[in-house]
Amino acid sequence: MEGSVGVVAQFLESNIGVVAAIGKIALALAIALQVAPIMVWVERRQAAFIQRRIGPNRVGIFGFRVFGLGQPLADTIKLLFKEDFVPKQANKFFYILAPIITAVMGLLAIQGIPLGKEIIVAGHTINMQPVSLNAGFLYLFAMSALGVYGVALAGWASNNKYALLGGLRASAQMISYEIAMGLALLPMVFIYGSLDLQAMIAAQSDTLLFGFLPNWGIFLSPVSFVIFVITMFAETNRLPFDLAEGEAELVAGFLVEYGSMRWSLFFLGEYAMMFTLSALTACVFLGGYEIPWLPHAELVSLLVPTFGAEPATWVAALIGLGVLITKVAIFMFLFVQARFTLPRFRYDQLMRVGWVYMLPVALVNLVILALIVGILRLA
Amino acid sequence: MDLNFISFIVMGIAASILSGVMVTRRWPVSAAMVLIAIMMLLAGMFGLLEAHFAAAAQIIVYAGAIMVVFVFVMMLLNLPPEELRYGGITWGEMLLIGLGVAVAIVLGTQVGQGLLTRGFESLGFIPGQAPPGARPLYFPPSENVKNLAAAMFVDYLWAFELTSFLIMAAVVGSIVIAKKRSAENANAA
Repeated sequence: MEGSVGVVAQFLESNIGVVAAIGKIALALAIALQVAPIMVWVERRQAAFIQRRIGPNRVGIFGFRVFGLGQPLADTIKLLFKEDFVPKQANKFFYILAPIITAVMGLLAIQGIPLGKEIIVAGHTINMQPVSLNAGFLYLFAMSALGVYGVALAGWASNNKYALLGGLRASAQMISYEIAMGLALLPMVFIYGSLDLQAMIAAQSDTLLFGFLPNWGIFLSPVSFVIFVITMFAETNRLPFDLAEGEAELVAGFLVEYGSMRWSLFFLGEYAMMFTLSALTACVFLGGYEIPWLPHAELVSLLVPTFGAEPATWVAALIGLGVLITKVAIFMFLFVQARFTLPRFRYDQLMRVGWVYMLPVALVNLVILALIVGILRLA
Repeated sequence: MDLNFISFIVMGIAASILSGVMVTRRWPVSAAMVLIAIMMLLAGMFGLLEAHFAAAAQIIVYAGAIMVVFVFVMMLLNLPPEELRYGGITWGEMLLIGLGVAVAIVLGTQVGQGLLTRGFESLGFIPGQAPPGARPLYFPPSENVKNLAAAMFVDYLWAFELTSFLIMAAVVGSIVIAKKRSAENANAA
């Protein structure tokens, strides 16, 4: 028995890179898959409070009600047992593929988020970013850009006029807002001098104005932050930008022919993408997993006396993950609050906001910040 | 033979097969979706060659922007599936197919043998190192985004700026042509 444990330990030790990669990917996937059920409950409860109702608070497991948190579980069971149909007029292959694309791109995009700085296990330093590429957050952008195919294909493959219009709107909207989104993030790249999210977070651990403010991106380039948050709503197809669904004029847009688990796969993808873009905002503008005024290295050195050298990095990683999720939760709250507060744009208004306001403002912001950074570098 | 190299070969073969699948699709949207799959495979191959920026740009620019516009237009026009047209193979087509097979055999034997025996090295690529004969790097090879920027904005600045000027001229030209036509249409109506 002891021998087999030794063999397993040796195998893990010699393949630490692969084991760590699988572990990190599994952790990110677990977070992404938890977001959808929890957010469904949050969304319904928050909507109920805004509309002076109670909302789902009944479902409990074995008598434990905990504010109705069992509701998502009941919903999932209901969805799983619903009839799984494919409309007769639909293009079957793409009809089935479309929700899978949306869900997979959401789950892939989240892999680019740094969940913590690094942990040390048995002398090996493990970077807590599942996909750590030299091109940094461009990977996130790529996955978010591919997400639109799920919506567009769903609209086309359903072979239904409402669905097709929804898909068309989604693809036009995505392209219009992606440009402003990229231009909003560009100044941050040259302010931090890197595309890597870990390097960006490390650059934000200093303080501004003699320690009064943390050196966060939101204080360095507030205009970028505002534009990015607005385009984030558009990219995830959330109200006031959910023209692709628009139940008043398009019934439910690209979703109209979908039911049961296929329908909920769209939601899984949408919530995963919301989480990913919120986490990207947190990493670029709000210092990511770092506690304000307390850089990661100092946090670890504070923890070392209590836990010892290696476990201290694990505890610090856990605290960092908690901080990151707290920052993400603020944006998720904003998403839901906006959904039940703001009316939907008209389509021409949507296009005007994107091309006539967001794009020029982002461009001017880019040029001004480029000049300032260039002059500061020269001086 | 490491895992990276095996994935590289598998992606290459898959991309070649999918190109054949793409040109035989009847629905334009299906062909476009297969093309997107090919682009993603190419991006994966760039990534395995440690050209992460090229990989990301491949997906963001081609799959994420240009192909979205293509698919948008196909959906907007609601293009029907292409009619199958079969009138037998002409001699010209036969000649082209023969040429293609000959080129494939020559390339396959020349490149394929090196690939199978020496892996990535036969492509002049060693992970984490600059290729032999490359210009001196400004930054270590792991900082490949910075090296790309150095090549673009230091070594080849003029070529890069002139190209962007050319593209700008093409954009203006296309607008002029489009304007002219709509003015003619307005006169006719």
